[in-house]
Amino acid sequence: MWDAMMSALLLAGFAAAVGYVHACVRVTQSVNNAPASRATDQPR
Amino acid sequence: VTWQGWLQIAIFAALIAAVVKPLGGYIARIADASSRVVRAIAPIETGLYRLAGVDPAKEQSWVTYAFALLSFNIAGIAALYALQRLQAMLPLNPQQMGAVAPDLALNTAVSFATNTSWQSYAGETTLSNLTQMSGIAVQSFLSGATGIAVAMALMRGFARRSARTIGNFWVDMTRVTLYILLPVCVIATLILVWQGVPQTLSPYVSATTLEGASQILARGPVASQEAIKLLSGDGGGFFNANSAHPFENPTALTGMLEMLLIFLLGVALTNSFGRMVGDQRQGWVLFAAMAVMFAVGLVTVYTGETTANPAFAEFRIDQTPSLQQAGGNMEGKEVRFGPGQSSLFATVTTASSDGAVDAMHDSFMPLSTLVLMSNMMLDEVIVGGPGSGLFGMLLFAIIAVFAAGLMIGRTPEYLGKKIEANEVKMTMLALLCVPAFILGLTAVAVFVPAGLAGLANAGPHGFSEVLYAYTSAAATNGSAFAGLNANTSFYNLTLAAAMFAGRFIVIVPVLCIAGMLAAKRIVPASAGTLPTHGPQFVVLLVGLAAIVGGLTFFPAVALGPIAEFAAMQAGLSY
Repeated sequence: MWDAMMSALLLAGFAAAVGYVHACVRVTQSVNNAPASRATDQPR
Repeated sequence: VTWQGWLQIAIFAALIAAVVKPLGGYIARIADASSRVVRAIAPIETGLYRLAGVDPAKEQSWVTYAFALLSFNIAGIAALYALQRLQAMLPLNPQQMGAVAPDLALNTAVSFATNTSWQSYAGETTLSNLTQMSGIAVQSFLSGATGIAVAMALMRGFARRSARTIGNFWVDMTRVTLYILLPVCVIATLILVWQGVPQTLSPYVSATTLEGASQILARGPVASQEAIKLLSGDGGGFFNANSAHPFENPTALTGMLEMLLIFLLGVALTNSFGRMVGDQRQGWVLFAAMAVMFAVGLVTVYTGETTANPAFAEFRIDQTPSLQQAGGNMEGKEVRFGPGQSSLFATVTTASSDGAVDAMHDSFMPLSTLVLMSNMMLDEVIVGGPGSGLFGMLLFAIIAVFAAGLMIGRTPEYLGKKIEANEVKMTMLALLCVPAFILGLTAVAVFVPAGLAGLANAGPHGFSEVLYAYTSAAATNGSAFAGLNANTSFYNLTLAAAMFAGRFIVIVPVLCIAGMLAAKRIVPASAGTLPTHGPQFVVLLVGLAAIVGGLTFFPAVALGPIAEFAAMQAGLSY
C-alpha cells in the first residue's frame, strides 16, 4: 500500500512537471502575441 | 589563522585557475563533437544510440528536450526507488540489508536523481552494495550529466541564431557521461585507492581496537562512488560521516583532490560558455563573479573558525594554534584536516551544489553557518553544480542586463540577443520559486509538531537546523547541518518535494529561455549596448546576486545564525 502511495506521489510530481512545461509554453506564447511596446528600443 | 592554512587556500585557488581553460576548451569541443576524443570513441557512442534507438542527427526543440529530460529523470527516480525496496532479494548484499522504508526510499531516489544527495539514512547500515553501485552511483552520473546537458542547451541558445532547436538531450547525456564524467572518475578512483580508500565487494570486517574492544569496520566499493560523488556535484557519501570518514577521505591530499573534483566542471564550464559564444572574456567575467563571492565567504568562514570560541573563555581552554594543536573551533572537525581545510571544504561544498562534508556544519560558528547557508541560498551561482552553476549565474546575468537596460531606457541585450519580457518572466520564475519553497516549507516545519519533533536544539540554532535542511534540499546541495532527525515521514516527504521542485522548477524555464534565445537573431553591438566582458559587469552581477539573496532571505537568517551570533556574544548558547 505504501508503495502505491509513493508511486502516486511520483506520478503526481511528473504530472505537475509536465503541467509546468505547458504553462511556460502558454506564458511565452501569450507574450509573443501581445502588441509590441512602443517604447522598445527607443532611447529616452 | 595560520600561514599553512592560507598556503593551502592559495594552492587550491591556483590549481582551480589553471584547470579552467584547458578543461573548458575540452568540454566545448565535446558539446559540438569536434574533439579528437569524440572521433576516436565514436563507434561506442554510435553503438549506444543504435541500442537505444536514438537518431543523433535529429535535434530537439526546447519542449521536446524538456520532456525527454523529465521522463528520463522520473524513470531514474522510479528505478532507484524499486532497487531500494527490493534490495533484500537482490545479489551483492553481503550484510543482508533489508528493504528501505518507502518514505525514505522515495526521499533517497528523488535526492540522487535531482543531483541533491540529501541523505536521511546512513549508507553503511541501510544500503546494499548493489544499491550503492547501480542505484546511487548511476544516478550520480546521470544527474550530473543532466545538469551539464542543460547548460550546453543554454549555451547553444546564446550561440545560435534563428534556430528552432537546442540540441539532442540523449546525445548530450551520452557524450557528457562517456567523454567527461567517466574518464575523470576512472583517474580519480585510482588516486583514491592509492591513498587508501577501499574498493571491494567483500563483507564488513571485525577488528579489535587498541583498548581490546571489538569493532565492525564497514567497507565496500567506496572509491568508485567517491569519485563521481564529488565530480557530479552530488555529494552523497558511501558512509554516514561522508568525507569526514577516514575510508572516504583518508589524507589531507585526498581532501585537496576532493575539493578540486567538486569545483572542476563548474569552473571549467564558464570557459566553455565563453568559447561557445565566441568571446572567452564573457566566460572569465562569470568566473570572476563566482571567485569574488567565493573569496568573501571563504575569508569569513576561515577567520571565524580559527578564532577562539568566546563560550570557552571561562573554562580557560587553550584555543591558540601551536605545534600540538590546530587551534580555533575544533568541535565537529577532523584533527587531520583542522580548521583550515575544513573551512575551505565547507565553503567549497556549499558554494558548489555538491554537499559532501568533511566537518559537521552544525558545529561551525554562527557567522560561518550564515555564509554556508547564504552560499546555498544564492541558488548555486558560486560555481554551483556541473552545469547548474553556469545556468544559475546566467539567470543573474539576464537580470543584470535587464536592470541595466531599465536604467538607460533601452531594450537590454546580452551577447547580441535581445532580452525581452519572455526571458525575464522565465528568469524570475526560476529565481523566485526556489526561495518560495525554502521559506514556505521552513515556516510549515517550525509550526507543526511533526517538524518540531526532529529538532535537537532550541532557539535560533534549532531554527537554523530546519532552515538549513530546506535550503540544502531546494538548492539541490544535499549537505546536512546535523542536529536534525530528518528520517521521519514528514521530513522525508517535504524534503523530497523541495528537492524535486528545486531542480525542475529551475531547469524547465532555463530550457525555455534557451529555446527562445536560439530563435532570435544576433543584434550587432551599438553605442547603447552594455559591455558584459569587463569588471563593471562583474560588479553588477555580484551586487545583484547579493541584493536579491539578501532581500529574500535576510529575515530568515536574522532569526537563525544572526540571532545566534548575538546570543553567543551575550553568553547564551542553545
